[in-house]
Amino acid sequence: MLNNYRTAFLRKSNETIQLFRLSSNTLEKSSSNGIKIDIPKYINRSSTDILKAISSTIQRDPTAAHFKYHDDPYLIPVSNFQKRAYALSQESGRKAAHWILNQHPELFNHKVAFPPIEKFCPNVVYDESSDLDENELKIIIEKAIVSDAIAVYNLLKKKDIEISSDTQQSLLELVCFYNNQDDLEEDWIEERWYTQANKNREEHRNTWKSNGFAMTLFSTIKSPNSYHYSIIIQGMAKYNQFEEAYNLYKEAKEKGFILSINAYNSAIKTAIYVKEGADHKWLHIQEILTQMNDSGVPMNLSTLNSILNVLTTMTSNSESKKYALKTIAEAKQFDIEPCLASYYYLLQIFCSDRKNKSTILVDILNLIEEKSLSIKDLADTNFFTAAMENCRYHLQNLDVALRVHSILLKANNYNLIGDSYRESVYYRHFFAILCQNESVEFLMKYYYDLVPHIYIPEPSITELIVKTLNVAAAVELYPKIWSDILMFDQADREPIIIELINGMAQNLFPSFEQSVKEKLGLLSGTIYDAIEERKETGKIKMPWTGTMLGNLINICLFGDNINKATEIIVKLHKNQNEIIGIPDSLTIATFLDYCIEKNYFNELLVSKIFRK
Amino acid sequence: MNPTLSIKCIPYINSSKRNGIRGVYCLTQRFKSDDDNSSKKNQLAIDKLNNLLKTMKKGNDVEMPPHESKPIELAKPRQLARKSEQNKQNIDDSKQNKPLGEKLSDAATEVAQSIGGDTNKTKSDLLNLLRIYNNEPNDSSEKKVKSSVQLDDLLSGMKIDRSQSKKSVEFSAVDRAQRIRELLGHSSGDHQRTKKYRKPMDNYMPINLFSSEPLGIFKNFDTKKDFPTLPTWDRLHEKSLQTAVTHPPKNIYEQMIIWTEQGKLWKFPINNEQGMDDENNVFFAEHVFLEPLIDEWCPKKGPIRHFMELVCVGLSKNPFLSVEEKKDHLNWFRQYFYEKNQLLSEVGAFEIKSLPENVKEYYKPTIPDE
Repeated sequence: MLNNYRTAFLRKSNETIQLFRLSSNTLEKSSSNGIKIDIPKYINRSSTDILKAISSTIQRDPTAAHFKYHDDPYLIPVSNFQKRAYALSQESGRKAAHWILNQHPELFNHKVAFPPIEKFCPNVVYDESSDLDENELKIIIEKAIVSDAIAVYNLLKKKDIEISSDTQQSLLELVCFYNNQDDLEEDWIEERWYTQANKNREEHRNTWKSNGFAMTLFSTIKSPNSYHYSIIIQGMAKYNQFEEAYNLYKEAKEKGFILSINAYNSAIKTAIYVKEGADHKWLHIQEILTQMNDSGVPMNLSTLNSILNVLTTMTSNSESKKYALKTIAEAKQFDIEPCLASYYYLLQIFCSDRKNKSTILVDILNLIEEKSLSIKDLADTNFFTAAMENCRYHLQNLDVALRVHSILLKANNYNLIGDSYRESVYYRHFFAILCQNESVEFLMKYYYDLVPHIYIPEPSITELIVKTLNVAAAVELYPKIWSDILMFDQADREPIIIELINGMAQNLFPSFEQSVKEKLGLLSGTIYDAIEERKETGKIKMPWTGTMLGNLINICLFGDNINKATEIIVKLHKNQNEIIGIPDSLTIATFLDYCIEKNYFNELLVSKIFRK
Repeated sequence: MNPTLSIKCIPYINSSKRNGIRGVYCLTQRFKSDDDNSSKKNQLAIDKLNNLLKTMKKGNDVEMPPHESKPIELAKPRQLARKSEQNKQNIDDSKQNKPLGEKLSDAATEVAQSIGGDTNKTKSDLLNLLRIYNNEPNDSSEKKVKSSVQLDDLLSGMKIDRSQSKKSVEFSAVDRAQRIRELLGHSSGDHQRTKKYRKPMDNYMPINLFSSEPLGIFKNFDTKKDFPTLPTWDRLHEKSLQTAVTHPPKNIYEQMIIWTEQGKLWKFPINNEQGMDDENNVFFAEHVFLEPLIDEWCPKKGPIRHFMELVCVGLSKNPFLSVEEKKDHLNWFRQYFYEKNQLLSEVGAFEIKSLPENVKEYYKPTIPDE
């Protein structure tokens, strides 16, 4: 015992001596050099910080497909359909594995890791036989599994196990938040990325389950307090059951309860359906705000967004813009900074008027340009798509569009794009603006960067791009755009084909180099073949027109592709009934001149049949 | 006639009136940039020309009341705004009641004068050009050939516009299409040029979003804090926000971040004892010095002692067992020897007096029936 103490003491004293030596050393050194060593404070890093740092050094490779796809030429998707199918199939494979794990947990008895990884464990099944208590329920609520929570609650009730009011309240919060149904598991990232498009359509539909578990639970509470009222009002408003929510709000008011901030926000939102006419809506908002003030409840960001959201439904009223700015000023008094969702609503409020255009987007961009953006409201993800749409239709200004794009690419802002649907809408608008700008080089810079791995143009945008190429006579890009059209499976879109053929025929300059000419001639043959093939399979229903074939002949002759030109001439002759109109006589004359000049007598004879 | 070149411009004319103007402007710009000494004067002239074309296009050759032509002039590019106002005054004062055609010819004279050089020639070219525009049918979707002819003329008009530069003679000899192509192909400064006539946001009115009067509903900002807050709801809301910005990972590191957050990966920095929270509170000596545990029952010497000491050494070096497990392990032997008491006393070796307490089921050796 004594020995122990002695060694401990010796060790201690040794350490102090060493420490002293060290410190005296540094002291001497620092005084001699005059440099003070400033040891930085220890920074607490989270477990993912180092990964984030490494990840931030990796830049996107525009020639590579997204990371989620297999890096194999046969498995790289080239159309929107393939992108979606490949990503979702991969995930559905994972889902199948999960299903087997949950269906046959007995097959997976080995321990894969220590400490055990909860994610790899099969789901727990709760039934009569399981040994349950309130703690179990708390854990399930913590994990936010709605169906299990409801099952366990019912089992506990059956066994007459008392549940504390706190747990009951959390359970009510959980079922109200998720509207009595399980949320999509967080594992299914792809599914969320591709399916949210459908959710948007439900935006204003009442999806609240009026006889769901939440209502049952609420009705079993004998004397609901302000917490219970707040929860149920928030839940109803979240799933657009506005009338009921407003009724409950009035009921709670009569009882003199002070509700949660979000319950007041929900009550403000009910104005969208409960009240009609701008004046009534605004009165409704003012009334609730006054009640908040009387109860000593402050505003928060979501209050601001709720008000702005209501204002978007009354943009026909000229006062709405003024109200919006006033609301922002009021929020400013609480030091509330508007978030992207607020700006999204502002855009809707200010830019609803097509005649009297507002440039508020520029002011918004001035505000957010320097800031690092993060998500604060679920509607934040609407902003970038709306901003780009605003640039295209409202401002029609490329500079602003480029600014929006540069902000989107900054830091982690790209996460705020929302989902695959919103992303492609965003790029649709972006490319439309780029096409309106006349410089092809500028357009192609973005085209090479973004197509096809980030964005695949919709047929309407492809048509715009082809038009832009035509206008700028960017002949060298025709082979590229045609191969892309084939790749995106848009060769059966009639407007694109017509636009492309006409454009090519208009851009034949004798001064081209021979190689370019030949390429064009070949390309025209390829286009002809591709269209013929698609007509046979019935993909293209449009009949040939004389002008189109004439244009093709012109291009073929231009590129010395006499075989194809003759083939088309024969086609013109044979299928006169199917072909609408006739080609320009100039085309035929060119063909004959060409044949004579180059001594193609057989071809000349073929065309002679045609001439009689 | 040079049909190929003119056909190139057809899309401009065909697509829309606006585009038509843009196209011509674009071409003029391209021709212009050939001249190294592109002076500001020329720039002005071209802008003016553009304007004239615009006005011409909007008003037919029918006489137009002056108040209707005013908004058209407003659409002029900005840099000209001041000058055009002056001009307008002049025009308004003196020539208010003249027909549009006459006004245009006057304007053309002015342009020609401002450009300098052969004034008469420039003027006639300009007017010629305007005439072509005026003759162009409004419905230009048909008759490609016709419009192409006009455009050809138009381009010849352009050529004369350039004729002020001394190189013009050489230029006319060169194939024109070739030059256009060159311009198209090697237009590094294309972006810059486009900027000039991109539609300016002349109506930009800065709005300070925070400058407005507040609503004035909220009076006290040091609000009391006893309003209800919903912890579970807020937590779920926060979670839903996070999932809204979690997208398919872009590289392996992002994938690893997601796995780490789901608890599927070792957390950085790597720690061998991660997740072994029970062991954190155990001092290492308890793992290593196990002899005290056998002291109370084991004989002081002899083969059993020797054997048990070896067990202790083995256990002290085992990193895979927790302290509890090591103790259980030792107790198993204690129990085992206890059961063999009879045999032990028969050989006179030793007698174990007591059984350990709280031995776990697993470690209890099966007691053989006697």
